Amino acid sequence: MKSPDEKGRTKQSSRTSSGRASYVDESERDLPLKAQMRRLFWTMGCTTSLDVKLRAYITGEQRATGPQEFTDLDVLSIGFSPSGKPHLTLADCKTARARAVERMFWLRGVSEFFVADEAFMVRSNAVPAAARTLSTRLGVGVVDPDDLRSLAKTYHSPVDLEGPLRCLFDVDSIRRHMENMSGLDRKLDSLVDFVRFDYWVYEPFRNLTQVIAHLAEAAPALNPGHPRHLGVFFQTAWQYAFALARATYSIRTSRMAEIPIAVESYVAGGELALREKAQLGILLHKAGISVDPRSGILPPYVEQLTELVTRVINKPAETGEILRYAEFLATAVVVGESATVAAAFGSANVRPVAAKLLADVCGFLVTAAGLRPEFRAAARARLVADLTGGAETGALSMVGIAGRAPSPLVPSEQANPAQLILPPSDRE
Amino acid sequence: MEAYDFGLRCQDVNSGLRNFDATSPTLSPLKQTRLVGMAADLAALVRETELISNMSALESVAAQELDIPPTSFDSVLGVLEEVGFVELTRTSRNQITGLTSEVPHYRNLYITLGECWRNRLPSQLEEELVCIVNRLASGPIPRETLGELGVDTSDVPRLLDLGTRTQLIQTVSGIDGAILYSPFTAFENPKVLSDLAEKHGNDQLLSEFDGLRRKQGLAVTPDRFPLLYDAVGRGLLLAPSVELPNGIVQAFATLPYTLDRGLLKGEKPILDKALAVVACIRCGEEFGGYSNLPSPVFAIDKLLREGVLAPHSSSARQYLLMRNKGVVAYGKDTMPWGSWIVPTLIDTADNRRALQIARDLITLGEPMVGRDSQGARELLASDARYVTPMKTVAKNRPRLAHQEPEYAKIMAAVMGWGAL
Repeated sequence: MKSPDEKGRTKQSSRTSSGRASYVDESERDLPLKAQMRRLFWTMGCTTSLDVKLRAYITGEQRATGPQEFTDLDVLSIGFSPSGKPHLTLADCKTARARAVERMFWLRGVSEFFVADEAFMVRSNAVPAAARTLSTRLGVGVVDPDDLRSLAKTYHSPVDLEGPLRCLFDVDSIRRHMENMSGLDRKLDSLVDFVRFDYWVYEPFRNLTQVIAHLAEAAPALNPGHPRHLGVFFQTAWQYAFALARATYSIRTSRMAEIPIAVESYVAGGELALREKAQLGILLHKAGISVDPRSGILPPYVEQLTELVTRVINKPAETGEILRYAEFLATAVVVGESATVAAAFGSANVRPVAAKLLADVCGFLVTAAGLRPEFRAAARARLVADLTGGAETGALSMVGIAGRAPSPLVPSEQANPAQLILPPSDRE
Repeated sequence: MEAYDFGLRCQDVNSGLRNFDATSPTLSPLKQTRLVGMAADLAALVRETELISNMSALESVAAQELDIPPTSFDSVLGVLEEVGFVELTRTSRNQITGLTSEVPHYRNLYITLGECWRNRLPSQLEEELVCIVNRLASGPIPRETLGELGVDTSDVPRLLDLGTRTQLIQTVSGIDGAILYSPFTAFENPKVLSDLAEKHGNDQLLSEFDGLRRKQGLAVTPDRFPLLYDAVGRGLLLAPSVELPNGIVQAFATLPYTLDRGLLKGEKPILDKALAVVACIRCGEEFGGYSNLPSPVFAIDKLLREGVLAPHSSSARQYLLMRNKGVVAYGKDTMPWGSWIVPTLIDTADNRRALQIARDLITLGEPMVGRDSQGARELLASDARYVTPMKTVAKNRPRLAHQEPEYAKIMAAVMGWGAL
């Protein structure tokens, strides 16, 4: 993360914000530390995002109108409470020795700004005793190399992180994934800027429509045959899944019995905003602009979105895995890792429902944003093809997935209906 | 008829034919209708199951529970794939190995299937039969009025022969001719129908049953609804009664139409409870005493959601029938000095089901139980936690899907869902 003492570098970074040049050089030294924290968070069962950049669009200054970057978050980890509330954890990863205490105060402010639940200051060398003293008072954890090793020993991932998932923790792969957002077709600039910056500063409800709007703008230039474009697509799928997770939590805790109304209200920005827009629609209609007073005030895909929200909200235990699968795919397609989600997470641990729901998210994005249908096919090939018996690629057979696929020797009429699909762990 | 009705009645026709020999040549004129009806049943079955990899097991469940012949199974899947309700995984040899479910929860299943049915160009006989089944869902009709439904008079004998042999149409004969009614209608004693038609005339029969269909739980009085009043008196219609503020006992007539035959027989107590709810709620709506219920649906929703209704001075009188049927208990007034009773839901599965049926009757005109393949779904060991009745928003007609293109971008920007 950049603090005020790194002002010069911050300015340089904001000049390259349109994605035309590499932005990863300045954080190169800290990358191994970020990779280690990402691994730790994964063993905790969380999903992560590295180098989350926060910026705002500044107006009113004669020479500086335009986007300006505030700071960035080295590692953002997201977990979920049983009720689906996102639990956000920040990790500030630095190899520099200086100013550890000041950084803790700064990190406290950043986590307040980002409404994070926890924050850790992670260092590659010993930290001053004063920092540890402040830790409890400020609510900022302190992790030096010894702490990190000890922490890592206390968490054990049921998923094999050394197989295909290794690309998430390998420094070269992480670098390639980060660089994926640089040097793309200029027609994708708006989408790239949104994915890298704006997504993180918009109010959460806006992202349910903004992701689609930016994807739709970029649709003509997005090529599903291009691994880098596919990486951008899965990155947006991750972001959309997170936006959905926030929406479903809001709906679950506010209006669970009336999901269609709750979705409309959430998308509009609240009950009051919905009424304001309805009034605006009526005024526009009176002014001669044809607008349906009911459907015109919401995006045309709101009914499909309601279906998607309903599917996700009905399976609260899957939310975290949906995001982890998207995170894996966003990196895997860029670095050439060809394993399916089932193969990467292993037969004993893959959650078919989560994979299917992510396929639904991808399918929805394709439909709502008017992307080429091959994006949908690519997502299904990685997510559900082998989980529904299409294991011709040899990635994983259904016997391996559920452990109880019917024997070809057993006549179909003897098949036990209760064996149909899901392993017991998927039942809620 | 609209696409919604076509889709809905395809399921009715298929449901009526379930116990019929699937290979009978009698059924060959109804091929498209049965296919779409089976698709509706299968859609309900797989809706809550996100993905299926054991197709042989699904085929077994479909055959055993939904009476979908294995020979038709792939065709039914083809219909669901065509309308986008499932996505099939196939091998390179085009063998289906699994599916993922995309069956909507809120977008209307029946509109989509109804459109599909029309696109498949059903035979004239199918169209006419579906039309008759749809009309009979509203109540009985005299045979001679079939022509008014658009049925070709030359097809009537064949349709009636087909309808009665397949038991999709029931008839009672009287001096003035035959009266047709649906086997899914909960008539207590259908033989009375011809007597009523004879006494009150066919026009009265049609208009009063139409009124009943439009408002389940109709307060029938001898002056406003003489035929229905008579029908209640003769035991044709189910009509629980509630005491009004003036002491008169008022009958609230209902005519349930349901595919769930169990509801009319073995589970009749649940239907009785549902009708009691309808009567009490309608009483509150029209004869509330100090004040009337503003919305009958809100009252049912509140009971389902919160388990209690706000008390008032007439609560004890108004909800007596629900209490006697074991749907609610009378709780104590929450105010220490108060003496009103608080209607409190006795929270059992049967009571919740009864409330849901009552809600469907009031909002849609017919209960939706029996359309969602519930029993078969349980066999699938679905992991669903939140099951929305397939049709609670059934009458939501599709909204304007597309705005005029020239304003689309303006509207996106104005309403905040365009790119910022």
